[in-house]
Amino acid sequence: MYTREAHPGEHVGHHTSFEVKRANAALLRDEVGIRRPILLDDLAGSAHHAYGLLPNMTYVIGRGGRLIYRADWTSAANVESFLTRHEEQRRHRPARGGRSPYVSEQLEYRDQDREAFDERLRRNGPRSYDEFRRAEEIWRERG
Amino acid sequence: MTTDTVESYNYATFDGYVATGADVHEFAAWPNLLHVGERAPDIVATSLDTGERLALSSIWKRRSVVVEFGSFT
Repeated sequence: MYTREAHPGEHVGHHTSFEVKRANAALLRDEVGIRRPILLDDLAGSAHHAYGLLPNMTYVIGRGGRLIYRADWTSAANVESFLTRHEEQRRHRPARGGRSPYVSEQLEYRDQDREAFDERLRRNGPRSYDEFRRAEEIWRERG
Repeated sequence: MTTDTVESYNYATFDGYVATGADVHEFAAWPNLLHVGERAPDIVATSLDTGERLALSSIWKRRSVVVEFGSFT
């Protein structure tokens, strides 16, 4: 789901119309080589608001429409691991008794590649990089 | 501060967005917004490839669906 641009810059700017949003999404698809289907949220971010406004969340929705996984940050490895376990559990038939769903939560860690992130900021434009630095100063002042 | 207008949602500068405190509000709200086991919100979005408007429910009625939210960065 393509949302607002998290760090707009001179080259990849903020969305002032749906056509700008569509063009940015197409650029992302073509530049990064994304082969998954991309859905465009509307300009107001209706889907983004409904699911929580974070920049890189992932949800898995089971057949029928029940949420079966959510993460406030996307890890492809974590999603794959969940889907593998979920499919195994779905197919499993215990020799006796039944099965009950339960909910679990975990705190996970992800790698942060600051150089790669800075490259992506500069790809959006020099001011995207500068603005992120200024945002870090605001976060430091907040403590 | 929330990003509840089209202009504030599509902020022009990231540091300006952070200065409003909207980031704090949005990150704080997420843990209590949706939970596994609940029904997913049905939304309508546009396919980038075909331009077709489609409801997420039209996908999940046939199969499970992984939805990642994101942009360039």
